[in-house]
Amino acid sequence: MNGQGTAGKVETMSLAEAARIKFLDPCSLLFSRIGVVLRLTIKGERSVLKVTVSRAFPLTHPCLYLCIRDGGGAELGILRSLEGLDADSRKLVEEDLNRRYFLPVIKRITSVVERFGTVEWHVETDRGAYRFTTRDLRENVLRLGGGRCILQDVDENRFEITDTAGLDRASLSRLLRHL
Amino acid sequence: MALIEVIPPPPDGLLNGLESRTVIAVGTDLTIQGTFGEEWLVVTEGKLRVFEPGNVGLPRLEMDMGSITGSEIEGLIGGGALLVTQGRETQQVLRFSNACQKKFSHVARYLQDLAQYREDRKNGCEKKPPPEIEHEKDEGTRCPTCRLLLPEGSNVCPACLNKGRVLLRIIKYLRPYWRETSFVWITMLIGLAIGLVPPYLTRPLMDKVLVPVVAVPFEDRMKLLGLLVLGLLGSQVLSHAVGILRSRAVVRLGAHLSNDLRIEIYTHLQWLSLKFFQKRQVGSLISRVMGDTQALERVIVDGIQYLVVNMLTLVGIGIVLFVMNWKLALAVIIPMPIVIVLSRLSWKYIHSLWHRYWHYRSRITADVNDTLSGVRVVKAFAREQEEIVRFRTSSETMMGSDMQAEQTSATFFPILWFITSTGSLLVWYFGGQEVLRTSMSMGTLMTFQAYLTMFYGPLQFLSHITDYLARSLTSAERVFEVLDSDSDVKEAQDCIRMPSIKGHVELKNVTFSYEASKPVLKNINLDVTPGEMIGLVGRSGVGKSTTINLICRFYDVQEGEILIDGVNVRNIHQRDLRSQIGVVLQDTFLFDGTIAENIAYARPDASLEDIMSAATAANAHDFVTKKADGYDTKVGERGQALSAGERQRIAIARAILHNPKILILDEATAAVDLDTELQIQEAIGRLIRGRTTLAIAHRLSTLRNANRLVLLKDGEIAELGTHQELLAKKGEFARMVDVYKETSSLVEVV
Repeated sequence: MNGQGTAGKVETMSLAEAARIKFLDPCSLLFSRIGVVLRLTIKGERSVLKVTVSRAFPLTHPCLYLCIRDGGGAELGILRSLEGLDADSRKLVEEDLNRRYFLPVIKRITSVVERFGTVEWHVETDRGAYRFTTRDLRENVLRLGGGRCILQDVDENRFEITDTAGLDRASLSRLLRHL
Repeated sequence: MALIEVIPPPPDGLLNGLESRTVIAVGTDLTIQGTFGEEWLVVTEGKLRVFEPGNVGLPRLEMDMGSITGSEIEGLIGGGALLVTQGRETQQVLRFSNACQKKFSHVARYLQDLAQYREDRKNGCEKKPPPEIEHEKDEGTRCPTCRLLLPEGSNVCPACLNKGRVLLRIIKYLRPYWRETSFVWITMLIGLAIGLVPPYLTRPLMDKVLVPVVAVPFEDRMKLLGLLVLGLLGSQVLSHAVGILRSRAVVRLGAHLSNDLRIEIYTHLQWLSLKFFQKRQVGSLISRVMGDTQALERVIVDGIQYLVVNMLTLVGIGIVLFVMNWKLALAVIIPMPIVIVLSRLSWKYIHSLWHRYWHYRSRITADVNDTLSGVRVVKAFAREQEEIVRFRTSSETMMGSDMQAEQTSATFFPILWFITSTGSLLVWYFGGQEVLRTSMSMGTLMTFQAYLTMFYGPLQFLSHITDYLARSLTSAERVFEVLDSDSDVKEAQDCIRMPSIKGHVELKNVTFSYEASKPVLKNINLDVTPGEMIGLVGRSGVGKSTTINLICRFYDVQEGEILIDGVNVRNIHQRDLRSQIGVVLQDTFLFDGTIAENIAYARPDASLEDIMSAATAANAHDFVTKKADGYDTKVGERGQALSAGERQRIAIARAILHNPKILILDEATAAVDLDTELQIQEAIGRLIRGRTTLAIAHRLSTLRNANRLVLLKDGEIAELGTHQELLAKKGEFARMVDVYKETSSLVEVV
């Protein structure tokens, strides 16, 4: 390969090309569902009986780059976003993602009781009210910057706080006491 | 047998009027829509139903047990779903969060086994008895009375046990030093008593010498003055002498205690399982071993003493004040309730501030440790600037939390002190009035004020004690947290001594996961005969290293068992087990010391010839002796002075010298060139004769001596057999060999 291009312009293969990463064309995809199992037809190519859709960046870019895998776990390709899918397919994929990713967002902290190193939280989330227990919370919190954090309880359940500054005063002071 | 959950109890009427025996009744914490809420799965011999608690009459879902052909858990992110297959359609029966993962995996396994059993029976080839639902063992993670989550590995509920737990526990450490301790206490009390003397002498000094109420001859006054000053001098000399003795004893006691604590925490850390270290940064543990033990020592040595002595002073002087003048004493007492209430209110708040500060501090230590250890990577990618920025951010966070804690303390305590000391102003005002009315002598007022200052000292301390204890008890808790974390790889109480293992390794239905939802190994069955060499192959992340970790018992399996010579590894004396397993790991770790010391790590009594033989066998002798310092060459921290290939050969020599019955090679020769590998291979070939060997390698040529190969895929054994058998299968292994041949021929061409 000739690396000495003119005026600093270097002709190189793009990284995506070199890595042979496969992006799927949303127009060619047709999703359907039998029971709870998602099925994918890639138009003019093939039909896959069981596919799973997972997010490549579930926390930072939940809507971008969805990995589509077959039942054996082999990646069929990556969908850049849901844009371009037909309405039915899009709805099915959205429902499946919604089912797969369970990360309740804490809206309000109603009470916090600390007892002997464990903390019991009563919270209201976007998925309903729940009660959970944490231990060593400071070691089990994922800080994502900008006031966003994810708490993990002793059962390995996780709870998101989108922005600590967005919480009401009482909730915030309850949270800060343990963070 | 049946699995019927009692906590939380099933809704009333749920289990009434079912057509046949109830086998399973368990609750989940998510609704089918994925919101938090209860639902109940009820399985009888005939039907599977799901109920919503508000509607126990009408199930949300109902299936015939006979129609179920399969069942599994679908691992989702943050929870999972119980899937049931009927013919060609798979349905989602219910959803659950991670909290219920274990419970429903038992349910799914039961349903699956039952479906399999029915299928077998229909085909007339039933092999197994009908499955039984596995009872979820009550692991006792929560206190049965108050549902509090128990400390890891302990069955003692701290809430139901004792409130002053931490303090009591701290006092326990003083037991071996009871002589020193009692000496410190006695000198403390003597000092306290002597301290009461000077104010007592003030009264005659005022009333009889300086401003006598009744006429006293001049000579008597001079004589008394001399005597009183002498008395003051005497009490001061005595007080200081006792003080010096006490301080010396305190230092002695403290040094011993913190030494004991440090050793205890380090000893405990050594015995903890790898799981504990996986979750924590090393730097943060270092700060616990060094910093927190010292803080704990402070509480033990000074804290408790001050606490008791100040309480005694407070009570003693309180009584003296009341006896002298009860009205004035009342004036002094008035601000006290306010002080106590304020102190108590602030306790929790300031406590949490300090806790946060400590957390940031240990995190910053961990960060520094991390980046300085990885300084080569930092420099290689020219990230110094970014690392500085990152450090600055965390340093500033720490500064902020430190400032907040300090400033809050600095604001709060003077205010408290001010409120407390308003009492003395009241004494001046009301006491002064009484002196003017001559109902009280000048001397009494002065003595009163003098005792009052002595009264406020302890009071101030007791208001500070919230702050002081907050700092210290937090440290204590952090130390105890480590001491309390029980190793989850426990030595069985009736463990079996096995000084001489033959090397028969058996894995039976082994299932293991680091995190609840992602099993790394699924139902592995493997029988390794003594002296056999097994090669483990497969892509990265399929569980090869995990298999080895389990055989070494770095972790305990969750299901199934691992047997060595027919004995479950859980029951084998750990030292016996590990002393007969030799491990060469992928990431070779050498300790700061000489090459010889590192080779002889497991057998410090090895002769120099043994060390050289081991090194020769590992093909290390040559490069070692070419170094100026030969076997006495220092390897540097983590062996950084050596190349990766050199480190690996030292590690092999270390394992060879260990003379194990079971040899484990985890990518042991990955960092050396092909020629060297061949030489090491020869040596290993001689070494492994008669020893059970498990070897992991990506380079297939490394495994040429293996008797059998195990190909792992997705945590399961995909292929198992000799080279020829696997090649003949034309499966995954044959494909790998083709790829390998291609690449190695490429190497030859280049």
